[in-house]
Amino acid sequence: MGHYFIGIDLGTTHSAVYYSNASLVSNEQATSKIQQLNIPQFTAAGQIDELPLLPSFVYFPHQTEFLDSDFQLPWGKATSIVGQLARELGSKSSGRLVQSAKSWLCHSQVGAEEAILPIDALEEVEKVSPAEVTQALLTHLVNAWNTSFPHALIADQEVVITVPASFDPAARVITEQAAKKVGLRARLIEEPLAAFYAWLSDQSSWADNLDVNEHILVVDVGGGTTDLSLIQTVEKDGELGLERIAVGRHILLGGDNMDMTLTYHLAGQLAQNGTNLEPWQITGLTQACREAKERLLSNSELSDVSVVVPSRGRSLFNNSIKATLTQTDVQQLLIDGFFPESTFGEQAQKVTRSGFSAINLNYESDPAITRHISGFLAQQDVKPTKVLLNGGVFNAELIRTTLETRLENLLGDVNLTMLTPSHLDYAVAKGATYYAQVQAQGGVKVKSGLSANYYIGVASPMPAIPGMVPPVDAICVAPFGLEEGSDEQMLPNEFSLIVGESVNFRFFQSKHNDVETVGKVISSFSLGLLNELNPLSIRLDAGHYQAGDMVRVYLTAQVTELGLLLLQAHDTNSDLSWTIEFQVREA
Amino acid sequence: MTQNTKTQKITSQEVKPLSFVPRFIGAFGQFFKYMGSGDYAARCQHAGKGDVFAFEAEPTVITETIETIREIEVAAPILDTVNEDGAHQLLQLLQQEARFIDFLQESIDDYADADVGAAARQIHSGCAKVLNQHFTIDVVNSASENSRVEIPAGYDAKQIKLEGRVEGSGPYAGTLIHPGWKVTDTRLPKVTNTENLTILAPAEVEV
Repeated sequence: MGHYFIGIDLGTTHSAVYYSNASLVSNEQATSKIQQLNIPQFTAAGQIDELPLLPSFVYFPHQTEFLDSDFQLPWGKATSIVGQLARELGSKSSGRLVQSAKSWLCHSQVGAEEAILPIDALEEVEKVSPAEVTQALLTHLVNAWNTSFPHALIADQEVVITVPASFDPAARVITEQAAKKVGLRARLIEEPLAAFYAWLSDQSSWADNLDVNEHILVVDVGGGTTDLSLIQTVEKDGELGLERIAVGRHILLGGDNMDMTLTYHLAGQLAQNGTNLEPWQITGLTQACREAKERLLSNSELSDVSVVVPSRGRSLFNNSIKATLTQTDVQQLLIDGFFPESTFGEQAQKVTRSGFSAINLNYESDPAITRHISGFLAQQDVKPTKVLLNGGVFNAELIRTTLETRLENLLGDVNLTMLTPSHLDYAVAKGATYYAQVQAQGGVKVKSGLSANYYIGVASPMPAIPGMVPPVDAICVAPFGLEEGSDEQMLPNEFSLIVGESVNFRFFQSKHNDVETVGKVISSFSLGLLNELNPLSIRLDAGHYQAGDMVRVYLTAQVTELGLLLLQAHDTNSDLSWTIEFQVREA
Repeated sequence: MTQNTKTQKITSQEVKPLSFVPRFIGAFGQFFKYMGSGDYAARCQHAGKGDVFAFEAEPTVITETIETIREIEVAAPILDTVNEDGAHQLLQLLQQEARFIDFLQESIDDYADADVGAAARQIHSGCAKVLNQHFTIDVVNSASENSRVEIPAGYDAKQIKLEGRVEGSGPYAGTLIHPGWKVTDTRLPKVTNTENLTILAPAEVEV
């Protein structure tokens, strides 16, 4: 029986698991021992293969679609199909596939416990909530581990799960709860930070590459999201330390957008010639475009690549759709579209939105990653000197060098160094494993706390005025940088709390990252400066009080060891205390 | 051919001494029998001299050697079919990833080279994916092509094929024409039901 460190990259489009054996690890040569777990999954009906990645897709098949024996996984019968086959089936049948469930976890209008997926579900398909999908994906990974290591069950191991840096506290809690339900006691780590840890694990002496007061920008472009983080080197007790000082907001923009761009470009060309594509052809075209893009980007001498979507019938040639993707197309659409020249401080462009839109993910309207970066850097007023890239998009050298030039121009006379990423596709899972190792056995840690100031809405007293609700002030309960496992923060003032009755709590998050003092009041008139998070409706247990009683309480805030924000109200007159949890959302 | 030793034993009868009463009564009988038969009297004289009867003699062991011929089966090479399930599964995978069967079942005579070339690219990338995913393939001989190589006398004929003027008992020196391929690891998908592996791809019906 061994003891393992396990890093789970629970990605929007793919999940991966890395691990290292605790007894074999010595910090000097840690990385060579971090390995990948192959995940058994369906690749066809009744066919199971072990693949390094688990596509984060769940498919709910029709009752006649498969034989009973087709559902047999190494650990038992499956009820839904997870992984590669799910993605494939979903591209052919509608209304049964759930994808990008992770992005729904921090949706501003939809609760994570709300059963809304698949968004286009057929009537007979029972909808599930984003939280349940997360749990289903985790269950698959847990079973995959336990099948490979029956003598070292995952519940007994040190597990780290990665989440986007831009996840709000509620989304973090949901992820942690989902992990708990499948028997994991997992720590959370932000993805860009995990990528940085992977870089750290590769360095024999990391401090040689960094100076004091340097800023490192981590650009993590995943399949569906872009995540930005800033890490600063600080001097602490004569030694170099690291602090994660800022994270960007949740940007739903990634590598898949690039493939879609090329697809729609070609689809438009074909439409001009009188060929209108059907949905299945779009899927095939996207696939073909991705391959053509990779060929064009890896070889700039190549002027064009023909893109063929064969018919669905048995003939590969009859009725096939042909188009040509040129080098100029790729350069213009991808480089100018996603990585245009940008000046410091330029913000992402906003388009006027249509009044009504179908409930779906809030996709980004400006595809320019460089503008998102410049906006983020300007907001922090930081000019980084080191850049660490992560994500499969950067496998293309042209994109890497373009981003480097754009950043150099954007930052002006800064001497910019690109750090060598550990692995563009797997750094996150690898870094998470290394982080688990560092937590248990020591090593250099990046100080990272809350990524924003958090405020709670407090109704201010005012005489009743018809047609006017009492204004709500925001009071800072947890400051930026509050670290996990740190002491409780106590608010200076006391409050009244209504117990035994359903009440609403409003939460806010600061847009900047200047540290606010706990208890600082933002008046109702300036609430626009803050981002409002999902409110939560909750009924706190009355205890020995009458329902509806106002209880005098003092508030404390704490970030738990697992990295979750916890608010507690303590009765001033008794031992009663109430925990206000973020996962309880208004459904 | 083997030698078998066969032992035959003649069962000896014993002459048991009589007690007094049957002896006393018998003695009168013997008197008249001796007097009446000259032949009997002559036999009794033999017995009186101490000669033993034939059946009283020591058992004789007769050893004779016989030759038998027995046929022993030596594993003679016979032709057998390899596991068909594996072949079907590989065809399935190639069809799934690369539409391999579609491609081969269609005549390409009527299509332009450019069309066939474009299709070949897709089929190539799909087949390569199947190969990489399910097999680790390595060369048998890692020397570079067209270089001089020496093959020892007791070489494995499965791994190395000598061509050209092959004579003598080696070692042999020659030019490496093709390095050969070998599978070092196989990772085929597991299947829950091997009954209908002959269905390489199901008929697709859009409803």
